[in-house]
Order: sequence, then C-alpha cells, then structure tokens
Amino acid sequence: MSRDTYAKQILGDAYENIKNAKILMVGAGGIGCELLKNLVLAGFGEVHLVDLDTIDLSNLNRQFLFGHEHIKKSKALVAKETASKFNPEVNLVAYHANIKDPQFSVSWFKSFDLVMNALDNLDTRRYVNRMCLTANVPMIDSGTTGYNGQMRVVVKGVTECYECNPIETPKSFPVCTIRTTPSQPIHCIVWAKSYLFNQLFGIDEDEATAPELDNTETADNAEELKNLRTENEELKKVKDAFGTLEFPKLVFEKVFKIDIDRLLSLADAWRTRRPPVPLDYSAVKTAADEAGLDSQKKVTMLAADDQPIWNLVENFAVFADSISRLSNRLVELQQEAGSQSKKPILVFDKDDDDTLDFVTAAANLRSIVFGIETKSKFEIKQMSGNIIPAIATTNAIVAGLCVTQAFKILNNDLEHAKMVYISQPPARMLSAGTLPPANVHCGVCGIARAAISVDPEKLTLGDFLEKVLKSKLGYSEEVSIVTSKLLYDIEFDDNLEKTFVELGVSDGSFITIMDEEEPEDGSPGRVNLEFIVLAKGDKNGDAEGDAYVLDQIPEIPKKPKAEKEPASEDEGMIVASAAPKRKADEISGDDTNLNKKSKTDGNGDSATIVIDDEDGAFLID
Amino acid sequence: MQKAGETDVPRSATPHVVSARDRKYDRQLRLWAANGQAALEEAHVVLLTASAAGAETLKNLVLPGTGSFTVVDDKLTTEEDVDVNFFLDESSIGHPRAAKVAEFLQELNTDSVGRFESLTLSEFDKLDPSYWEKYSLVVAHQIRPSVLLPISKVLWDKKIPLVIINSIGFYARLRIVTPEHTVVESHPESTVDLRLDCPWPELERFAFGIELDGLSEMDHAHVPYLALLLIYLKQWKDAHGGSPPSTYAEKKEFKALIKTGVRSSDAENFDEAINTVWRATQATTIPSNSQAILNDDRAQNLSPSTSKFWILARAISDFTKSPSSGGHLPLSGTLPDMKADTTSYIKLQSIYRSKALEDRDWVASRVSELLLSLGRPADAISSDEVDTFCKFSRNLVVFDGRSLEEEYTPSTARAKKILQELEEENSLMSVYVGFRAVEVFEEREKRYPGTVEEVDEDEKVLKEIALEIVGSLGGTEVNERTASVLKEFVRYGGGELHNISSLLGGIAAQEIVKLITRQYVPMTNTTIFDGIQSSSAVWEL
Repeated sequence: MSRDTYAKQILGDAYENIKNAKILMVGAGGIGCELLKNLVLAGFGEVHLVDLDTIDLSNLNRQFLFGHEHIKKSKALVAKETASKFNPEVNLVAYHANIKDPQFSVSWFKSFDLVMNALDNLDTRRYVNRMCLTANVPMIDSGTTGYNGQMRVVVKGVTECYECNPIETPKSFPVCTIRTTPSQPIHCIVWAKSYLFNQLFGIDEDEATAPELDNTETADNAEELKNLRTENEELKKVKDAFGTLEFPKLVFEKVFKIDIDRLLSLADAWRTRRPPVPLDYSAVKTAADEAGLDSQKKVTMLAADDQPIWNLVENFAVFADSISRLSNRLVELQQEAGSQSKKPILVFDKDDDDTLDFVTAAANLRSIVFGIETKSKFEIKQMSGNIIPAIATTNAIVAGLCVTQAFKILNNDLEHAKMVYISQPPARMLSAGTLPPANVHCGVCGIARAAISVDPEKLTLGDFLEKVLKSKLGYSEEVSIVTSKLLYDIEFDDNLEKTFVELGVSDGSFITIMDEEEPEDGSPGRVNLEFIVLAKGDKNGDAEGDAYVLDQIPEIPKKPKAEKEPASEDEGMIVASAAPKRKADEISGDDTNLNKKSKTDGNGDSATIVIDDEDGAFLID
Repeated sequence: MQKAGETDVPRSATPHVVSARDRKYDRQLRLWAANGQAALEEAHVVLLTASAAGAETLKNLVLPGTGSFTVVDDKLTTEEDVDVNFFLDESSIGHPRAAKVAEFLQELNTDSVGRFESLTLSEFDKLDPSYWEKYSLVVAHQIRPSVLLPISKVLWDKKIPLVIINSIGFYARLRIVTPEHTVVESHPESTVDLRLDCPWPELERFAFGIELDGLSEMDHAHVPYLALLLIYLKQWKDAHGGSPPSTYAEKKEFKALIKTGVRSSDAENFDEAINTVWRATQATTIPSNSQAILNDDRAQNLSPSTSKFWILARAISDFTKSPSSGGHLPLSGTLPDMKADTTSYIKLQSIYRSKALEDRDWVASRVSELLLSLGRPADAISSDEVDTFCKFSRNLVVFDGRSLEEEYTPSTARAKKILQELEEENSLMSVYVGFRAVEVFEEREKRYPGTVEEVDEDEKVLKEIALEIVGSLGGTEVNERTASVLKEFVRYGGGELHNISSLLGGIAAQEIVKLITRQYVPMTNTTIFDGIQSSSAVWEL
C-alpha cells in the first residue's frame, strides 16, 4: 500500500479536493498546532499560516510543535518548520505577521478555498469574519477554554456569521470607577495595569484605547475628568525623575498620597462610601525596613512566591523594587534605541514577572487605600492577564472537529456542516447542531461589502461622496458615512473638504454607507454598504486620475422588510422568522442548549474581563 | 466598601516558589492545581498498540507532564503508519513502532520518562499478573477481545483503570473500565453554603446585633446582605408564627418587606439581599447523592483495607448523626461576593470559617478514631485531605464501574438499552454494534473487513456477525442504519483517519487526566463518536 491508501479509501472522492485545497490558517497557538498537524497529515495541498506571536514557556504544555529551544521565536515560522517534516508534499507558507497587515488584502483572502481561525481574541476574529464575508470565502471558527470548546462553520449568506448574534464584549469599567471610586479588587487591578503601568512605562494617551476603560464624558463626570487630567499632568512631572533613586518614592507619594488627598476633597463622593485612607511613605518605608525587607534579594525572594497574600509593607517593598527593575529596563531600551523616532515602551505581560509584580503590588496598595480585599500574585495574574486555563486535550478535540468540517466544505456538502460544542460529561461530550441561517438583519453579514483602493492623502470625503457614492453607486446625498464616528450626513457636511487621512481613515479601515433616502413608494432602502479601505501602493487611478480605484461595482440589495406581527393580515400563515427554530432531530439526540455560554466557576471577580489566551475562546461574562 | 470574591482558584496549601516548571504548566495548574499535577507526575501510563490514536492519547498526557509512559507494540513501522501517525516519520519505516513512537513522544517533554516494550498479542497471555502492577493506567487500542478480556480481568482485580480506544475511519469509541472511581474535588460551580434557614448562635448574634435604624446612611449601605436577610427573615417569622416564606406569593411579599428597608439609592446590599431571597429561603439539606454515599455499605462497614475516601465518608456520616451538626454536612466556610465594609466582611468571614473549622475538627478527630480502630496510624489521612473532603462533601462522586466481561456477556449486557437505542433514528448505537462486529471479524479472520479485493463478501460476513451480536441480546434484525454503518466500516478497511484519531486522543486523554487526578467528573463508561455527523453519545454499557 502506498502512503495515502487509507486516506483515499476512507475519504473517497473528497480526497482529490483536499489535495488541491488551499487553506489559510489564522493563528498558530494551541488550536493552531493541532490543526496544522491534522491538515498536514490529511494531505491538504497548500496551507498558509499567519501568526504575530512568539513562543512562550507557558505554551509548551500544549503547543507541541514548539520546544524550549524555540522560546521567543515566531510561532508561525517554527510551526511550519516542525510540521513540514511530517509531510513534505504539503506546501506550507508561514507569515510572522498580523493578519490585519495590508499585505493580506481581500484579493489575497479570495485566493483561499477555506479560512480556519485558531485565534485568541475577539477583535481579530471579527476582522477575519469581515474579510471572509467580503472575499466570500468560507470560514471555520474555533475556540477553547479549559475543558470546554466550540467550533462552527460560517458561509456568507448561508449560515450565521460570527457576529449575527450579539457577542458579549469584555466588560469595561467607567473611568471614574477605576480612577476615583474603586470598590472591587478588579477595579484596582485595571487601574494598575491599564492606567498606572502605561502612564509610567507605556504610551501616554492609552486611556483612549484601553478597552477596559470607558471614558465617555458626560455632564456628571466632567468635573471628575478634569481632576483626572490634573493628575495626569502631575504624573508627567514625576516622570522627569525617571531612572533616579527617588523615582519609586515620588510615584508612591503621588498616587497613594497626593491623588488620594485630592479625592478626599470631593466630599460628595464619600457621603455613602468609605473614604480612602492615604498612605504615608516614610511610615511604610520604616515598617518595611524593620520587617527586614531592605535588600533587593529579600524582596526578590518574597515576590517569587505567588501564593500568599502580601501585607502592606510587603506590597510596598515589591512596588518599589519592581519600579526600579522596570525603570532600569526601559532606560536600557532607550539607550539601545538611541535617537530613533519611535520611543521604546514596556508592555504589560502576565508572564513577565517584572510587570506582574508591579501590577500586583500597585493594585494591592490601592486596595488597601480603599479598604478593598487584597489578592495574591497568583490570583492577580489570572485577573489581569486574561488567563484562561488551556490544555492539549480540548484543543485536540476542537481541531479534529474543524477538519471534519473542512472535508464537508471542500466537498460542497454544506448541508451537513455543523456547529459543535464540547461540554462536560456525564451528559455528553459533544453537542452538534445544524448551522443556523444568516440573520438577515445582521449588521455585519446582512450588508453589502466592497473594497476600495484609495490614496488617503489625496481623496477627500467630498470627492468620495460625489464620484464614488453618487455617480458610480447611485446614492443621493441622503446618506450617512460612518467609521467609528459620523463623518457625514445630510445635516453635517463639515468634513467634505477633508482628506481620508485627516479623518483618520487609513489602510484597513472600514467605512459604512447608510442609505437614508426613503423611497416615495414606501419600499425599503438599500442595505448598508461597508467598504474596506486599502491604501494604494501605485498611482494608476481611475481614468480621471482620481485618488481611488473601485474594482467592482458592488450589488447593494434592498433592506429586508421589517418583520410583521403575524397577526391580522396573514391570519393562519406563519411568517418566516429570521432565525427559525432548529429542528429537534437535527440537534443530535439531546436537548443540549447549543447557545449556552461557558460558565464561570464561581470565581466572581476574576472572570469579569477575561477575554482569552493563546487558544482562543469565547467570553466569560 | 468591599467586594470580596469567593476564591475557588485551586491552589496548594504549602507555600512554594514559582519555578520554570510551574510556568510551563501554569495554564493547566489553573484547572487541577498542584495536587492534581503531583498525581499526574506520579502516574505511569502504558499504551498497548502504537497506533495514531494511541500516540495522540499519550501526546496529550506527555505534554502536561505525566511522570512515565510505556509504549507496547510488536510491529515494524510501515508507510501507512507514517501517513496517519504524527509520531512516526519516513526514517521510522522498517523500525519497531514502539521504539519510534516512544522516541518521538519523549521529545515533547523531558519531564516525562518514556519506555517501550516489544510484546506480541500471544505473549500478553503468558504475562504474570504482577506485570501490570507498575502501571497506574492502561490504554489499549484495538486489541482483540480474546486477548483484552483476560487483561481487563487482571486489571479489574488490581483496580488499575483500563481505557479502551478504537478508531476506524470516521468512527471512534472510548470505554473506561474501572471497578470504582471516587471524586472529592468534583469542581462544582460553587461551594457556597449559607445556612440562612438554620443560623448557628454566632451568626445570629452578629446579625441581630445590628440595629439598622440607628445606622448612618453610609453604614446602612454597607450591612452585608447575609445579615439583612437574617434580620428580615426573623421579622417575617415573628409575624408568621415562626414559619419562613415558602410559597411564591410569600417570597414575593418577603422581597417587598426587604425593600421597605431601603434608604438611599446606593443600596447595592439590599439589591443583593432581594436577589438571594430564593436561595436564602430554601431549606438546607443533604443532597441525595451525598446521602447515598454516606449510607453506602463501604462507608458503614469499614475494613482494614478500606480506602481513605470511604473512611472519610464514614466520618462525615457519623458527623451528620451527631448533635453538634444539627443533621447537616460540615460547613464549607465559603462566602460569596458581597457589598460590605471590610470590618463586617472579615467578621462574617471569620464566623463562617470558625464554624467550618469546628465541623472539620469534629470530622478529623472522628477520622483518627476510625483509623485507629482499623489498626492504622491516626494520621494516615492528612488534615488537608479532611479539609478538602469537608469542603466538597455536598458534591462527592462515586462511580461503580461495569467490567468488560459484564458488557460482553449477553446475560449481563445492557441488552434492553442497546436494542432500544438501535431503534432511534441515526442512533450511534449502530456504530457501537459495528465496532463489536469488526472485533469479532478480526478475531476470526485475523484481518480487518475491507482489506481484500472482493469487499462484498466481507460486508456480508460482517452483517452476519452483527446479527449474531444483536441476536444474542434478544434482537431479531440488523436494521438499515446499522447495515449502512457496517458498509462504512468495510470501506474503511480498518484504517485510521488522522484527525479522528487525534480527536479521540483528545477525548481519551481528557478522561484519563480526570481519572488520574481524581478531579472533575469523568464520563461513564462508553463514548461513541461519529465524524460524519460530528456527534457523540455517552452510555453506561
């Protein structure tokens, strides 16, 4: 028998399709390693893998394509190298890159028969979902958390897309809760990690982008936000002492004394709350010295044990010590970087002890100030690092399921494609269900999509409206043009002179066009149109030499009619609903709830902002 | 204000310094903690048959650091082995599979010690039963019943778990054979046990010592909701002849009563109290599955060889009958999240903890007495073990296994269940029958169905065998669905499909980790997976 005898025999006609298939695998972590092994051994013709990440020690308990010698190397490149040995006939192409990079254009996505997601975060999943919808390529998404996992197939217009149902987003906290009125350990941890750490060692204006902070300004919090800006200004001054021996002291006094005193002056805030108690540097320092925590060696030993909950002086000692360690690192980086324009920064990493020590100690000190329970380093690692338990077994199960679905897609047997949840016995291990149809009202897949290449420095919003939307696509001026903010509508034309660059639209941005015209015959308007913007490399524009190229005129269907109450006019007729109930017999023999979310294990706080780790997962709320 | 979390993060009791090993295993330690990891590191797993499914199972055990593994096989590597098994490559062809698979698996993790042995099927018979004693668990892939049944008997007597795996084409099967499996750390969603319906004196003193009316607005907003519930529950009982709210209407009324106490808009604690009314008014009882375990003969009639689990169960049983328990299980001592000021939270925490400790101490001293009476050292069960047992006493799990013999002997087989299931549309029981038929076919023909040119004859024979099996259980026919499954089996020719074997390796290893760590609830006792429908079924056969 030859090497692929069994594969041919078992897979039958599908085998040829598999051999000729071109697959894109996004992510080479926990599920990715399993998936790549399966794809290689199943004999898939060509597999491209993209991963931005590098290998960490904590990956090795499951990401078996990597060894100790690969730590800090590219996951994508090492995975390719290891896996290719096992079937030299498979053409593997690896990219150590972000899937959002411009090189991975819509037309590049279009060149694949199937995209398989082995991702670890919501944001990238959403992005790949949209790219697959735009390129009209089927996608298989998967994720695991501990002993649980899930897998599903997404095909444009046929099945639910990744965003047809609202996805629970990671919990965010109002900025004032974090900065002024923390009441739970997690508030202090977010403060230490997303605010203080970044202010000291990372990018300054991070509050705007930290997903855990909601800093929408309202009339209620205007005063507080003003105060916070004062705090920021002061902290910047403290940073002048960066790298000096005084630095830890200055930071401590600033955030645990001066800022707290200022908060106390807002008497209103403490009417029904316990007021915070500021910390006195010299008193705590003396206590630390008396406790024998006076040498770096002793502090290092203390910080090495992540199980006990540290007391005030212990937290103080670790705080001061970790600030010194981090400052020294940053100074070193800055010296290496020399006069390069991009200033080096430090990034919080749960597996980087210097950063974790800092966040643990700073969070606990703040908890002490506000009379909140303190936590051990072990617990804070989980709460701050969005750690999800991850093991080889669940990843193996999910990846095996993904490949069975890939066979179906390549065989054009979509009818039998499934979504599967891995749940815990005794009930059953896997719950398979047919794929729910696309939600026609979905704002992601129920809309028209197109790609447009532009020169963002030349193209103005006015030109875009006139030349693209009105003359090419037949819109009136009654449209809204929206990115993350409103750029234009019929009553807001301030931006028409501005270029895309000036409006913050660049390569990879999405722009949504909403048809606001209400046809006189009462018929529905057109569905939204979402452009993905590609920054043009070359300059050969349209015939007129315009700053854009629109390859294809997209078809923009009418909006589906709003669902009617099946009451009066259609008596006795059942109006098809957007999401018909699944037939009981299609859910394999059990009454398992397919849409159930993973449950927290009673961890209270710790589960609130969990996104996921290397293995990709659904959210835990 | 304080939000204190119920900490259910598994952790070891002894302080330790984070080592490189802890870092490597960080993501799994968060599932099964240091004690689970220690159990894994002490384990020695043996694989019989170096198939793809077997190698994948071991892979998933070697990666998390299983102490030792042994691969037993007598074949030389062929090209088709390489095609389907990731732990063999071109250079392995012609070399012993056992050695090569062990070698590749060893590369995955140096913490795990790999060995291999070359044993043919006929040699298994001649092994001394003591051969198996060095293993903590045996994984067997596709071993014919005439060889496997005697092995399973030996293992059963020695209480060594046997995990049988089969992977052919799109079909997979997993069977766990072990006489008894007990779990203390079943990882329930919560171990909170509030006892609001039957507070003990210290808890009452704390709650009734709070004069709600005399509190400042701030203090009022920080009374822990447990205390609020106790206060209002007493008010209610005083007004209702001593009985708590029991009907839906009464509970609604009780909620309204609590609401009357709200003073400021920032009354999170009152909201918490109102949201917990349903649970707070439930009577504290011993769950029926725990009660059954406490009443079990193995707990009630101890012998010198009784395992720790049953001695502990007996101590708990005695505790529930003692006056100091009030007929309850030991208190877990776990407090849920709540809004409270630090002082009263800590006070409340210490009330629950002291009560839990008091219960624990009673159980611990009873355990020592029992041990002594059995002629064993009084400290043979550690205080940590008593602690854990008390904490999870509401969620104990005992599985009494069924032997392979019972499954394979028609008179003791679950005949009714099997025949019933076969009637169901698309039942996976057809796949189970298919696996059984293939086993018999292989036993008789010494080859798998579908491995010859003329497969129609194989299909016919396989169908006859299936009819024998169904007939022995009292059935009369091989239905259409089963016939089509048999046809698939013939098409597969006994070959493995890598991704199905990989998936099976994942499922099997997951259950093995649960068995070894004695944490989480394992599957009982058979799983069938059908890769065509992507579905699975679990039965106790």
